[in-house]
Amino acid sequence: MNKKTPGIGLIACSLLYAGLSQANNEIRTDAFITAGGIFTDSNVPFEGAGKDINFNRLSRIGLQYTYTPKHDIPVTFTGQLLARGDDDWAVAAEWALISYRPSSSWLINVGKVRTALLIYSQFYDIGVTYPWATPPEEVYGTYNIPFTSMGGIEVVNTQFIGDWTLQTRLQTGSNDFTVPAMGLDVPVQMEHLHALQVNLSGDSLSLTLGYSDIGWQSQELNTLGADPRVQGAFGALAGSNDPAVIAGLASQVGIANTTNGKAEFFDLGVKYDNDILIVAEIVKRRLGNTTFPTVEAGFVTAGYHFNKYTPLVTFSRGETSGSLIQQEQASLALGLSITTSASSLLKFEVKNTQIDDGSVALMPGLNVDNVGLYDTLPTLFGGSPVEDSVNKVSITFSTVL
Amino acid sequence: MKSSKIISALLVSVFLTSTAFAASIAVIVHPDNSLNDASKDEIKRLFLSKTDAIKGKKLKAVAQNNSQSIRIVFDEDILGKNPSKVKAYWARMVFTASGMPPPELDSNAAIIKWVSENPDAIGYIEDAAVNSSVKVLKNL
Repeated sequence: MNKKTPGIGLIACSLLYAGLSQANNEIRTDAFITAGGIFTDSNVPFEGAGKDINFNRLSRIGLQYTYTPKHDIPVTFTGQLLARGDDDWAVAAEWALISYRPSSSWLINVGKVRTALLIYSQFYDIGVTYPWATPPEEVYGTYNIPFTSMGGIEVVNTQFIGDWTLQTRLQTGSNDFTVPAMGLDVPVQMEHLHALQVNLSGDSLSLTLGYSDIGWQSQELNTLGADPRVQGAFGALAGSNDPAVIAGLASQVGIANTTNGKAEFFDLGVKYDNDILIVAEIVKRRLGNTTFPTVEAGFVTAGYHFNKYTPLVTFSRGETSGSLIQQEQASLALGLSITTSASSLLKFEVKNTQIDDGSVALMPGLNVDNVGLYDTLPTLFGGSPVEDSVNKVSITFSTVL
Repeated sequence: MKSSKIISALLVSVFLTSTAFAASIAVIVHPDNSLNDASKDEIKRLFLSKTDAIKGKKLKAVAQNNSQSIRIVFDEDILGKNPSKVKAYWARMVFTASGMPPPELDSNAAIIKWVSENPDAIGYIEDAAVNSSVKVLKNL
């Protein structure tokens, strides 16, 4: 059976389990929905959006079933189905796990778990848990984190220190995913991911510190240099069609000689949410090869809750280094989040992004232009010319059921 | 005449609402429960599913239905969150398998019945509704 099933399967599952839920109150059903549209003023697609409004990019629906057997062993079984508009509404198991709570302080989840690299990594698909139409792409975009879950184990410890709650989350596991590189989706095997996230939270203030270590390999990177676009570009640069010359140039810039490596994520976040809302986060993704870049990114958001209206402003910035593809940009976004009911939010956002005037030296006298988070390769590799400034408009409606 | 009736009805409604909001809350447990007291923080953590015990005693919380005015008062005064923040909090907990919200019952009477029949139960009701079938752990 295919890993993904048509969207109609989601509906069928929903109806089936809704029936079971009514018949057996040990099964709990929860759902989340985000419907939204996004467009830009750019001729070149940017952050997954173009001039025509895209209703798929931000839209998603998830169904979760939690089964708690009636016995003395504190175990629950949870499964979550997720369909994203961006993925043609194909239904996939986002996670499926067994939870065991050996004591009041400890929780152990085993199975397919959501990775906890950043503050909102585990809630990225659930729109009511954050104030933006979409979390800042410079930090949360797939160019930085190309996966959301993994098979493994998660151990959570909770301690109370006065009025504060200290939660320590440790995850370990592995996964296969794809990474955008040179305009291609390159399959990558994550051999291991070890993540540590510490969160200290009070009534309004929350501090998060995270570190993740990833070991990966991708034999497919050996064939990346054989892609016709890459070969064409290197052939033109080398002034030769000789495969050996092209391969040599590709190897020289690190395309063909990096089939495994290590990645580290460092994350620091703070959130204050009372009448005033402040969220800030900085992250560094460090890699040691030239095909996948090191990323440094961050954002700060400030808002104010006027009853059900929360206007907010966000400044975000992201930049890469150590790769042929340079992606540096800074954005200023104005947003409005409206609480339409206790369980739903309607959000608007207008974002202006400035693409930095940067470039990477491919070889002496030959530079590769910065493309920011445009969905294109640099012109040197056959991509479309990009503009220095781009505006993006997002509208979403999110609810939980 | 008709408008004065409407105004009167509105005033009564406002008065009743104010009365409901002004009522004090009693946190109750089964009469056989060995617990005799709990702090506001301990109650808050239990009802937010950050822990499943108070002073080492495991408890199963039950909440008022979210359409009840006492629920709004409890959420804002004890949990420190308005209804939308409560929903967002439970979305984060539920969709990361970190915890589940307490089951909900529709009235003080239903909470009293449930707590009186379950030795490890804890709930909250309006103070005036307390009877001998339950023990008051804390007045809030």
